[in-house]
Amino acid sequence: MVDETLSRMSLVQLSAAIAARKVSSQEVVLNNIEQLEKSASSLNCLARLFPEEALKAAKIADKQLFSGKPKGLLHGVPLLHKDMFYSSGNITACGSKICADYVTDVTATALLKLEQAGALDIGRLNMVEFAYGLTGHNEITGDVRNPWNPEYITGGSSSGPAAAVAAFLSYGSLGSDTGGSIRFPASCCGLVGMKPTYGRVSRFGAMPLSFSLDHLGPLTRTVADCSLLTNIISGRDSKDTTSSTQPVPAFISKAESGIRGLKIGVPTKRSGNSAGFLDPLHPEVQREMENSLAVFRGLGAKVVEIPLPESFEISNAMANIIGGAESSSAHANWLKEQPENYGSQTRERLLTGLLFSATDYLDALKLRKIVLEEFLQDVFEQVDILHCPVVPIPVPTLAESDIKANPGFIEYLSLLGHFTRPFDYLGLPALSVPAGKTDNGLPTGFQLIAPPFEESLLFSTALAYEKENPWSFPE
Amino acid sequence: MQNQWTAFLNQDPNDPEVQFALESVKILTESKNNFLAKLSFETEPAEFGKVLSINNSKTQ
Repeated sequence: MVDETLSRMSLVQLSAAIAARKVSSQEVVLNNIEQLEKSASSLNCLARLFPEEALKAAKIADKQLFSGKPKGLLHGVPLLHKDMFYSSGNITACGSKICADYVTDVTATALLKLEQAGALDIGRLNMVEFAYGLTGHNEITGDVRNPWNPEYITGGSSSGPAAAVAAFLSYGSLGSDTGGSIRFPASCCGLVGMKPTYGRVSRFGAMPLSFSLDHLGPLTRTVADCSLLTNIISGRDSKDTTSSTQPVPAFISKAESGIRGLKIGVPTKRSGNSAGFLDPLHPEVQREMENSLAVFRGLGAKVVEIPLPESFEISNAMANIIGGAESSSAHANWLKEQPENYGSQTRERLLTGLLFSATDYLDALKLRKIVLEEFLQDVFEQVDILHCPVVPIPVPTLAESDIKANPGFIEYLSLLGHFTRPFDYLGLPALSVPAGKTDNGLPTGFQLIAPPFEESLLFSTALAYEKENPWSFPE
Repeated sequence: MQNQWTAFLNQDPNDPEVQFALESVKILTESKNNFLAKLSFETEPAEFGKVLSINNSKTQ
C-alpha cells in the first residue's frame, strides 16, 4: 500500500529523512514504484521505468549510508526525468516514434551531477514530440493529463515531468526550456520551474531542439527543492561549448534575509502606439498577478511600473526565427527520410524552419546582443527583478486546445509563449512560481526574471513569497 | 510526405501549407527591419555571450 506521507514529502525533507535514516532508500524507491504503478497510467506521464536497476541502486545507497559514506545531498533519492536526457545504454525516445529505439553511449552531464550527489535515476517521463510545443499534446505517445483536472492540459513540452511532480510521482524532475517548456507546464500544474541563465547548466547529453535557446532546469513542488536541484546541476562543463565559467554560489543562502526594499518591476501597460507587453493577459490571470504583487508589497518590496525597451518587442519573433531554423536543420535528415514518422503538427512546425534565409537567422542571432544590452540597461538599472505572468490565459482543456479538432485555437497558440519565449532569447534566468487559481480551479503562475547569473535573487525572492503564501496540492 | 519536404524547400507557390507558413515567416522577419540599423558592420552572434558574462562581473 502506498505511503502517501512519504510520497508527499518535499525533496529537501526526503533527503534529510534518508540521511537521518528515518527511512531507507529502498523503502522510498519501492513506495515510488508502487505509486507510479497506481497513478501514472491515468495521467499518461510515464515513458519508462527502471525498477530493477532502481532497487539495486537503492540497496547500494542504503549500504553506503550505513557505512557512513553518503554520496551527497540527494543520497538515495529517486527521481524521474523528461525523456530527452541521455543515459548511456538506455533508450531516449524524445516523445517520438523516430527515436523510439534511440540508444546513446553518453550520459547527460546534468544526470551525472545528480548521480554524484547521490540521486537515483529511476525512469523517464513523457513529453511533447521532440519538445516542440507548449500545450503538451503529443500525437505519438498520447496527451499527458493535468493532475489538477485530467480534462485539462499540463502544458509542455515538459508535460510528463509537470504531471508526475504535481501528482507526487516524482520528488522533482529535470526538463528543458527553449520557448517556455519548463515554466509553462510548471504554471499549469502549480509547480516551481527554473530556467537558469543560458550557459549556467550544461546541455551536454540532452536532446537538442535549438542550441542557441535550449536551457535545462528543474520542476519541483517547492522553491527550496528547485534551488537544490538547480545548484547541483549548475556549473562549467567542457563538453558543452556554451557552458559558462561563472562561479556557482549557494543559491538559497540569502533566503532568510527577506526582501524588504527589493525593487520589483512590472511591465507598463500600453504606451503611445505600441502594444504593452501585458496586453494579451486574460483578466482572471491578471487578477492573480495583482494578488501576488500585493503579497510582495506586504513583504516590504517596492513594486514599480517599468517601460520595457522598444527593441524587446522583437524578442518573440527573433526566438521563433532562431528556433525554427536550428530545429529544422537538426531534423533535416529525418524530415527527408521518414517524414511519415512525425506527428503532423511537429512536422509542419519543423518544415516551416526551412523557409528562413541564412541572413534572417544571422540577423536574429546578432540582434540578441543589442536587445539584451538595452534590456539590462533600461530594466535592471531601475529595478532588481522583473515580475510578469507565465501563461496569458487560464489553462485550457485538452479538447479546446487540440488544433486538429479545434482549429480556432490557433489564434491563441501563437500567444501562448508570449511571456516565456523572450527570456529564452535574452538568456536571462526566469523562475515560475505558483500564484493562485483561475475560475476553472486550475493553477496559474507568475515568473520572476533577474539579471544574468542572479539565480540566487530569484530563489530568495520566491522563497519569501512562498513562506508568506504557502501553496497546496490536490488530495 | 516526401513531396511536403520538396514543397517547403522550393517554397512551392501552389501548396497552401507552404503559402500559410510563408505568411508567418514574413511577419516574423519583417519585425526586425526597424532594428537592423543598430547592428554594426562588425557585430557577431557570439557577442551575446560576452554581454551575459560582462554584466555578471559588474554585479559581483
